[in-house]
Amino acid sequence: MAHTTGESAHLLRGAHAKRLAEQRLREEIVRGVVVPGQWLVEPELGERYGVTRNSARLALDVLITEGLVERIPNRGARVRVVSTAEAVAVLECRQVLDGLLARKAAQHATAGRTDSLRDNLRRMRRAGAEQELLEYSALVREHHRLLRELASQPRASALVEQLEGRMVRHEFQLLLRPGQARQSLAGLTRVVDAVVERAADRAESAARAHLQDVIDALLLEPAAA
Amino acid sequence: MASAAQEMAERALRVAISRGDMPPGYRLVEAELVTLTGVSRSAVRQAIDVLAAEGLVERIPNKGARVRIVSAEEAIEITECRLPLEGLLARKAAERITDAEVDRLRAHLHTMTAAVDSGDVQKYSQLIQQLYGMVAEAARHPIAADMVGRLQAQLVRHQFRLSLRPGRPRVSLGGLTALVDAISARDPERAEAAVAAHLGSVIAALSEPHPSGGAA
Repeated sequence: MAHTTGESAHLLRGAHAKRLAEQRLREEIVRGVVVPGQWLVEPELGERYGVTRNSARLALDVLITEGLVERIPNRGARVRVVSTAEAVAVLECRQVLDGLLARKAAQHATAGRTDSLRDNLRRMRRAGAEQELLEYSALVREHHRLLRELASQPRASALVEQLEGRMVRHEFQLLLRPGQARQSLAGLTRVVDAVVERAADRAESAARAHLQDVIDALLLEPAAA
Repeated sequence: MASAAQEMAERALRVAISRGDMPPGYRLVEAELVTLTGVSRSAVRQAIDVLAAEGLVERIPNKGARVRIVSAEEAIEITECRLPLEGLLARKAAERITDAEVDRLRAHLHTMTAAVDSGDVQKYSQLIQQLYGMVAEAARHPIAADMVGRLQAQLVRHQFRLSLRPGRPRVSLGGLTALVDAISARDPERAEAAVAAHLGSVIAALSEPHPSGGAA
């Protein structure tokens, strides 16, 4: 829809361009290439990701609904500063909802449906061993997605998805700490084991315990957001 | 970013829906809402968009919007989500509640008991909502409180209808008394367990077929 000038003719546009810009920006926020409080200028973002200014703006809109970016009236868009207190509060909500989802997943588990959880865990183990932390991070999100599918509780899934977006940077930064990825893997393995064995109570407490590890680690971090 | 006008329109709609002034199925006509709220049509439209995204209202092609009818199955699903979140709030309330808040909670429970004793189901239903609000405030956990508030809003009708079932208010009062006791005793684990027991009984009751019908 944007008018193609000679200058922007080389830039991608449309739904594909928006998705690309979303992914690139999300990754830069997660990795800390772009930092909390940093201003995000649409034409600059567009140039950097090779998309039109309009696609950059649409990508920003998406990240705003996820709580990663905020618009300040008369100033522009910037990466949201999420304090430790807010991060902990969000994680506490996730903790209890993940508990519900793990419980439901255990109740619905059958031999065929848990294979993908185990396969994903294997891939996580490999990524962890190779210190491929971005890959590991993505596989953790996949684990949660698989669990939600199994749980079949659309309402809880939607609530967790909303919360997930706000936490990606914190969770990733935590993984960089020595031993964190290993502990995370151990925690998620306990969840998968309980789900496979259809032990609903155990699945719920394992899911909560895993998030408690993340909360505890977060609280140990120095005060920077 | 929501404008003040949009937020005002949202708030007015939420109140009207939660009080039953706009029951399930009620048609939301933009022009009427402009008159009701005093804000612009576009603010009204944006407010409806937000409530539609939450599932409180729904848009009907070519006919505007209406207050969504929540089925019995959905009410159960929503209550399943409320259970752990209210549990979190109860736990935090038990940890953070002040003496003055404990006194207010106990006084409120007293009022609830009086309502059940006198058979005032309508009043009792409203008092339940207020009780949860007081617990959420004592918890000082705005993120959880916000999430739960949005879930609660969709259950008002079902909660009221549940209270109409013979004997139900007394059972409900028992569960909520246990909750208030646990929070007043500043026992987080017991408070969370009391919520699980109470909302578990609500889920069980909603799952029973009943003469007054399941669907709203």
